[in-house]
Amino acid sequence: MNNDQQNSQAMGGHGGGIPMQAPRQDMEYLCADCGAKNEIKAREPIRCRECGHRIMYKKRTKRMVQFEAR
Amino acid sequence: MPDSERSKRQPTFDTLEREKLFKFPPKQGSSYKILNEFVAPHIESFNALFDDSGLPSGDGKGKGLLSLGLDDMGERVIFDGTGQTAGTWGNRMRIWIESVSISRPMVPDKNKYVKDRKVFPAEARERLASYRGKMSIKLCWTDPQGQRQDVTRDCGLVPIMVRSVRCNLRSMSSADMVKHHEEAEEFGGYFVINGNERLIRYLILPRRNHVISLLRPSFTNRGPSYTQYAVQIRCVRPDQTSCTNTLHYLSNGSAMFRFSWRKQEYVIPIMLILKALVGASDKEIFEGIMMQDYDNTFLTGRVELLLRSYKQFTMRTGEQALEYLGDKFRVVLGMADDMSNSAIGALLIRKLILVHIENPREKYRMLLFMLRKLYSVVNGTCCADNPDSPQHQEVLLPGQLYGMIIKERLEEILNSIRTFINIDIRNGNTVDFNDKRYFAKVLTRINFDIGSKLSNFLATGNLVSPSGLDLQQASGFTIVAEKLNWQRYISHFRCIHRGAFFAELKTTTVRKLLPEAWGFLCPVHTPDGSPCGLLNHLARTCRIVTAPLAVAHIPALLAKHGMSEPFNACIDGRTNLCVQLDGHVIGWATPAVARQLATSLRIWKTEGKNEIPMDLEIGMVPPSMGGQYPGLFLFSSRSRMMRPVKYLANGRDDSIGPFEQVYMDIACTPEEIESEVSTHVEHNPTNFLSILANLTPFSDFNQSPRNIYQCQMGKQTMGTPSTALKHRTDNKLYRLQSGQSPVVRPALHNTYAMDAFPNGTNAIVALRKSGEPTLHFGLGPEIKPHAKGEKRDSCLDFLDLDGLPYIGTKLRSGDPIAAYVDDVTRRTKFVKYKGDEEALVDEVRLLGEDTGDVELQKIHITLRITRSPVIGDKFSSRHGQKGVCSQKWPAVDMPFSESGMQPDVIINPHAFPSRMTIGMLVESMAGKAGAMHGLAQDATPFKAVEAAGYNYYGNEPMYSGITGEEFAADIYLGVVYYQRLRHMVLDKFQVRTTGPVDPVTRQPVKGRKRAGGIRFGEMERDALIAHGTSYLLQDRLMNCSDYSTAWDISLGEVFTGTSISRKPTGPGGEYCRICRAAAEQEDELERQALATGQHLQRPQASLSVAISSQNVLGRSLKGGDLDVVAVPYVFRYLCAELASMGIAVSLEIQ
Amino acid sequence: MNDPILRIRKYERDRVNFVLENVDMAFANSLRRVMMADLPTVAIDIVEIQANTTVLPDEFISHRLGMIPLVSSNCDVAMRYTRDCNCFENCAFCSIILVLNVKCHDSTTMDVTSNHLEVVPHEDQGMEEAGEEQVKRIEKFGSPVGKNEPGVEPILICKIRKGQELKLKCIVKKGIAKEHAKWSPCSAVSFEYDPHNKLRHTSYWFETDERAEWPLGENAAEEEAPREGEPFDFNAKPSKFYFDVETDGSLGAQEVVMKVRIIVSFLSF
Repeated sequence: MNNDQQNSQAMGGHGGGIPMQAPRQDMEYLCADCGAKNEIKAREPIRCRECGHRIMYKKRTKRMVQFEAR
Repeated sequence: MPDSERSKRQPTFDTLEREKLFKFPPKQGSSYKILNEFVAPHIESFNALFDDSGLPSGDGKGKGLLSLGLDDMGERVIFDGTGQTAGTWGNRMRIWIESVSISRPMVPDKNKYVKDRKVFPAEARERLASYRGKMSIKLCWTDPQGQRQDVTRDCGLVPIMVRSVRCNLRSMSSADMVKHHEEAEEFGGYFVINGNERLIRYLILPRRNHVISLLRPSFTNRGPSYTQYAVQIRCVRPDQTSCTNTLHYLSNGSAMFRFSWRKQEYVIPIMLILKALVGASDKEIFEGIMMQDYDNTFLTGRVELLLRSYKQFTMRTGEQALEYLGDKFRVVLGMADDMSNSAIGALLIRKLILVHIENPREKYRMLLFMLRKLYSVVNGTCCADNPDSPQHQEVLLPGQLYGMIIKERLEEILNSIRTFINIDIRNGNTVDFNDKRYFAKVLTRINFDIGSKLSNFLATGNLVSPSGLDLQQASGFTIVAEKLNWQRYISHFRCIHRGAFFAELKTTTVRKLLPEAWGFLCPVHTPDGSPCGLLNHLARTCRIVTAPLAVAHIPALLAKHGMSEPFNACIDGRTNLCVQLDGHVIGWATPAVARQLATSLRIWKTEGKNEIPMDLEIGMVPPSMGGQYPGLFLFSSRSRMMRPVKYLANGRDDSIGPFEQVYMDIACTPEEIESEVSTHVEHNPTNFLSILANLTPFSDFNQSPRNIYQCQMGKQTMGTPSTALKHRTDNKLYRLQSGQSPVVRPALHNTYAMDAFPNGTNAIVALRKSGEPTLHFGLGPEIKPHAKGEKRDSCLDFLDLDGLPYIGTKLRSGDPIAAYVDDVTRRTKFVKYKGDEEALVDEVRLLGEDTGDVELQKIHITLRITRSPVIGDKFSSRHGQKGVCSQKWPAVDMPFSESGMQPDVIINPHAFPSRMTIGMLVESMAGKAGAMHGLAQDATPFKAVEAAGYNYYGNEPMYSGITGEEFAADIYLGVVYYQRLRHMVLDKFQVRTTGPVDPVTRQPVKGRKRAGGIRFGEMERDALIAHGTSYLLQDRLMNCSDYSTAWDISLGEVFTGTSISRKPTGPGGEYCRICRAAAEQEDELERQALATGQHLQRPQASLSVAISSQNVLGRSLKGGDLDVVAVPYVFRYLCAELASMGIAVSLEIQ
Repeated sequence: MNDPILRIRKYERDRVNFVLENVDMAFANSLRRVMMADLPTVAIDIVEIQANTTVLPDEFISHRLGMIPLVSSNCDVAMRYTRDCNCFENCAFCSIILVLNVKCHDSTTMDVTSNHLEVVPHEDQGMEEAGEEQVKRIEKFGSPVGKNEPGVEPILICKIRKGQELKLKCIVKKGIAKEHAKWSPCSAVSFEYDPHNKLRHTSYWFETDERAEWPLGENAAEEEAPREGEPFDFNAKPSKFYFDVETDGSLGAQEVVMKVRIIVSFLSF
């Protein structure tokens, strides 16, 4: 896997017990209505900044996914 | 083929046309207009609720059904009981609802962040919410001074039908629809409830405002002197609520009038009503029924008895009769206290007796007609009508039912306001009608939430109603519009149910396919099994009238053309037929005149003359000997089924209904027209089939049940459910990755956008005998080597920093799909993927709330599971020829033709003789020709098969793929469109060696989900016994089930009783507590006997069971006195149960 | 039996029509089977998707990529099987890397085709001493058949609209069609013998007249028509076989026939 993956693993700790120290990384989502990019942090309301729409799509991962070509 | 001909060729694939439509959906109107037409009854019936429905207003004031319902509801009157003197009731208050309004779905006002306040159905689906609009009512009341007060109350959010007049998608074009995340072909007609698409199914009801005669032996059980004869009429008020009235014939010659009020049935002698209606004298009644037919002794006798029977009531005037009725029904109707008895009597007649007629005089005439029909049935001069025949049926439309529920709820609101005030008065609380605050206080206690009631109705299909709405069922009104594929989806909007009541009926007469249904209900498209014949589908061209028609001028018009007016007292009933319009007697005419009138009306309506509406149904029932009761019956009401045909007399298009069709001669094709006999001709011979039945290619060549099966299987096919897949949230969605348009297609194939949602593959099929009787598939080798399993441990391999899965991640069973921090425990919790198959995360949705100010509470994750065909998956052609894939071959092993062509499917020719699906053979020939020439092939049923390309049998020599040798017989190779059905082994296989067991019996559990076994039942056991396969029997019922071992007290009893050696023990010192106790007791007794000299009897076991010595496994290896014996564990359990009842079981080993 | 004769009747770049004589049926058929399933080629086997915002799901695109024919000339010696290679996962000897990186910036729909697949050097290229395999590869080895050649339509992978992106890396491996049909160099092999049905291996079903209803194929001209009343020789065996091989371009008709010739010449001893 790539590098930032390992970084986040190092930062994220072991899950389970202690709530994760949420890294101040922007999570970007796409508005289902207007397609605008929205940064939504934990405990922020789900709402598009542009049009006020109430559904967000998660963006596709930039991580590599491997498939067999058959 | 020359180019000029090619362009005209039908059908074509229209590939470029379709691509253009898909890329650039029309900016005006929709891409497939016919789709909007066929759901019109759903949408228009919903629109009809509102004043601004956009429907023509007919004779009415153009008011919506809700307004009409409010008119019918009237007002409630309450007294505060302050007047202490008897005879006064104190201050009077009237309450009524002045108006109802339902708005379009909007974001609530609380949300300050939104730009566009409109809510669209796609959002409701994606957020798993309901598509609802705000409903409010204007409630009015008068204070003691008579001053009108009003207040607007919110009634919650009511579900809105998609694409109705209250929907935000209402008049959008396909292009706009796509913009709002809908299908370009979206046609609406359903509700979105909790993210599911639900619709109210059409329901068959008795035809409104038409008297039908019934002959039911069960009527005799209603009471003494009741007979099996009755006539019935289902009367419909202007607001489309209905009330059924029945007139029973009694063996004493009189008749009883029956109706129901709040699910309670009431019976009134008919004479009482006749008197009360118009104060008719005995002579008037006598003449009215006799109609000059004085020679008819049967009739004179009955009428005399009828009149005599009334003598016991000593009421002579109409007023007296009204007062009597009012007195009896005062409590039942619960009307205002200050109403006089006669006013209540009049109200009863207005509200419950022949409610489709306003005027008492007209009601009276109709009642006389009912009596005449009743006597005629009893007399045998006419026969009983068949209530199962579509001739006497109409359709309950979704919007009407919806309106009825709303009306009833509003009525309940008024009633409960009155009840609350009355309770306050009774409890001595301060009741001040002058105080607005008091009224407001009352209103706070009333449940105004009609929206949740309607949502609940749509979500469950259960009707909660105090009156029952004059319907025969209380549940099963709504269904989910499953979008498994396009065929299934559109079928939902055309299905029509006979009623849940009939599903339980033991007789099958209601399920019968009647000739009257021709052209209205499809004879092919009905499921097999329990709903067979009850759940039908409308024929393709069948419409349902939803708009009110303007017919007020018809009585005068007919009178001008020779009809006698109804008030004419000296009509001869023997020579005159009754002329009725929507259950009103509008006049009388001789059979010849009536026939002439019917013909004239038909010519006028087809030619658009005299403003006769096209949808007027002209039912001319000619006089006959013992046939249907004659008359000229005109119907202009809504919810009737109508269909287009061509009228031969003037070559114009005509629209006919099931009532009149029975008396018509309709030729199926122009060739069939018989001069002087045929009156009409079908526009198209396939019009009597439903949409789906029309799609079966060459269905006229198939044995009929196979076409029925295809209608079922077409609906189970994995295809293209939607083109807006990204915005779908269905629980399970099957998607065929590479669907094709069929080469062989009926002319109607793409009329209903079938090519926009492909459903299968054109497969090359060889007919070849082989060992297995099922299908063989050779769709490429699919060898899957086992993937190198790398173990991933950290949740971070699956989850992003927000705790949600990465899109595209592969998931195996047990992998986390989401993580969240539990606010209570402050610990991170994981949601795991539970499926057995490898899944891929397709989409992650973060769902907010309407108000837009709530943090993330709900997420929606779509998983994608790939399922390439495996052995055991079910496939079918379009001819009811289903089968499972039984073998997959590598390409080299497949047989091939001289040109190197390898079949995709090999099907055994034994599939044909018994199933007689000749259509499939014709399809494969046509498909071959089409594929070779690159042309679409017409497969419309009832069309002569064209000669070109069919004279060659299509056989080819084939070679074995394994040896290369030519097969001894030439083999037929062709192209057939194949569907993959949704039933797949991966969902069905059930296998078990060991696994979970029932804790009580220790037998394997049942159920595929729990890794259980399949029951090896008694009949299976019998089979093994009959075969003498004792080892198998032992294996199934003992070794693989609840095998257990127990200690056997050597040569003695296992569980109870005593043994030879007194105190046997096992190798580890185990012993039987009972025998030990018994032995000790015996020792004690013996000691006592020794001491006292008395001899005592041993206790006996109450039940003894023999066990075979074969079950004894021999003595335990570790020594001891006990043997080990094999017993089924349930047997131990049985012994324990018996022991708990005080029955000791003793076992003998033989 | 005489020596086998292979006579080429028609030859095009990706199609060959030949007649094989003086062999028995088992041999002819095994030849057919070899051509279809046993000639090694290279094909995309593993797809690493980095970005896919197209409408098609990852595994569907991977499947489509696998089916694209790649130039595999001289594949026998120019490439190792991954299983025979002594590398850890895959290396320059047993694999080729293709990349595809397309993003649509226009407002019209854009076709992603096999022409967008680019061969890139292996990461460890040159780290080891160049093996003999690489030397034997032709220039285009591993790239999609017909890439950038005039008159050859590229193979459509998917269509993307503005803002959509497809970025992936393909690992090409050598294999045979017995494992997966994508490694088959042939799209169709037609095979016929005894066009006049003199051996009576089959029986033609007919309604009135067998001759009229069963038209003779063009191969019938190669053999003598049965004479009227000719006695049936029940000992006769087929010895002349008519082939028409169509390849998908990964090997080319010439190479297929060459390999066939080698096999034929082996067996003639």
